[in-house]
Amino acid sequence: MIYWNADLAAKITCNHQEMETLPLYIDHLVDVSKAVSQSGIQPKGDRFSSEKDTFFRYGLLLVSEGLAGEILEEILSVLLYVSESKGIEFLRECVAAEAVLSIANGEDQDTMLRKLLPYCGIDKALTMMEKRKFEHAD
Amino acid sequence: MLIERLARMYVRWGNPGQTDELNRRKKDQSILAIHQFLEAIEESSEDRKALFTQSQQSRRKAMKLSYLLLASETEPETIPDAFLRSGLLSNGQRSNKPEVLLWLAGTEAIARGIHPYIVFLIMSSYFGLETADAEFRWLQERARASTIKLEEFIVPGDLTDTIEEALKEPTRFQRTIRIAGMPLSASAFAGCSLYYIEKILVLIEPIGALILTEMIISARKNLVSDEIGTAQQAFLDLFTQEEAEPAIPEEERATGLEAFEEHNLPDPDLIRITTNIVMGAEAKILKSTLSSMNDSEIASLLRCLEALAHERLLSLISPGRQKRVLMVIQRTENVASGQMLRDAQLFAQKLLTTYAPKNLKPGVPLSIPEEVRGLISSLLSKE
Repeated sequence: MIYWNADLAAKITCNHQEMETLPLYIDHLVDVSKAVSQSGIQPKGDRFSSEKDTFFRYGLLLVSEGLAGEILEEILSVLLYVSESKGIEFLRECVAAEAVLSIANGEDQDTMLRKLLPYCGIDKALTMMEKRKFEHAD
Repeated sequence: MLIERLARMYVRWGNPGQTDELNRRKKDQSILAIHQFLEAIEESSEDRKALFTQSQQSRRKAMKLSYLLLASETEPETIPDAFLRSGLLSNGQRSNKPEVLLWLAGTEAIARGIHPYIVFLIMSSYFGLETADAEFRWLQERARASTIKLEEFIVPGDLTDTIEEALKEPTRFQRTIRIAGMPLSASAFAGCSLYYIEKILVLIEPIGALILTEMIISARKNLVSDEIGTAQQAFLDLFTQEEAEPAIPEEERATGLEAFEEHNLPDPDLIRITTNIVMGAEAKILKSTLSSMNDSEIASLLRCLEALAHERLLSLISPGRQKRVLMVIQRTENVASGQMLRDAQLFAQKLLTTYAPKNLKPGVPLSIPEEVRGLISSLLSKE
């Protein structure tokens, strides 16, 4: 149950065109997650320097320090709470934070998608899952 | 879910305001204050009463209150109320809201026994991403410069014997450390040889490695070999559980709508085991575990229990919390069996963490009942 607040709702609101960019962003997060689950997080390699998304990169740095679960969720939610981003930028930060938690907790790709896709809206999420099913059937 | 937590913060604390309202000088002073807080907490680890002096010397009201509450060993649950009653969070106050909230969060986290480095990361996140990132780098350098060293100390156990093999899969090992959490991992590694601990520590970046090192030192001081053995077994259970997860071929994966669906029939064996754990664990340990869980987690746990255990669990939380938990249950739809298993396992991990590193003195045998130990092990290895 989410207790919506007007300030939060205003901060997260974005237009249809902006929402269209979200699935591509989720694809990127899933790709990084795949790479991390295959090769792990290699310390001292400055592995995330190529990640341009600063919020996501910071989350991955926290994971590389061994953080996960409740503590990581607390840090990420505080960062979102004080974030001055708005609209799609803020929504992307929310999705990135959710992806970081998923990576930290070692969740598989499907579980991760089940958490990320609803941020695109339920219709879009269902369409995308159907599309994935179709692609895999091929 | 993260968005749920964020929404709760908005409902509880309102709009955070602009963090850039703080001018550069004020921000630098606030950051310096949390650096001093970190040092004071580290120095007073054996005697929190020493923080009374810090309280007298502090000019900032929130910081003063924070030191006072910690020096008087206030229960973590009552700290938000203390901040609210202080008036520091009322609308009339000119002070910056995130700055007061960071002291509240830091005080509560220290009172909950969280490592000062992690508390520092929580506190610095209230300044926003840019500052949090800069402070994270500062903390990494501080951790790298640490001279804390471990000494040789070996306790026979399964983990020591199998660690060579386990370390061949560093990705899985890293993941197990994160899932087990630092306290349980440290208790498990406490019995390993220095050779293996050094191999484990390179899998984590400097902040995490230092936290783990300090927790290992603490576990060696406070745990007896039986307790370390139990922690090792729990860690191994988690590691094996990770291994046991079948590698489903890509084409067989749930890739469509069925990925949203799970079997809804509750597993009677899961309910029996979880109920027996709740009935077998001591009230004090159970109470402490429940205090580390949020309302949704307790509500999820209740779904995995028989009515008999509901009564016991609810009797260990305050009437106000009972109402909130029951409200969460009323608002939630039926939960899939896979989710129930994850909820019960999360509880088992938290229970183990409560048992493993706290309230145990050298020479005192582990107080975890044999039956409960077996049940936890069985629950954690369940798929």
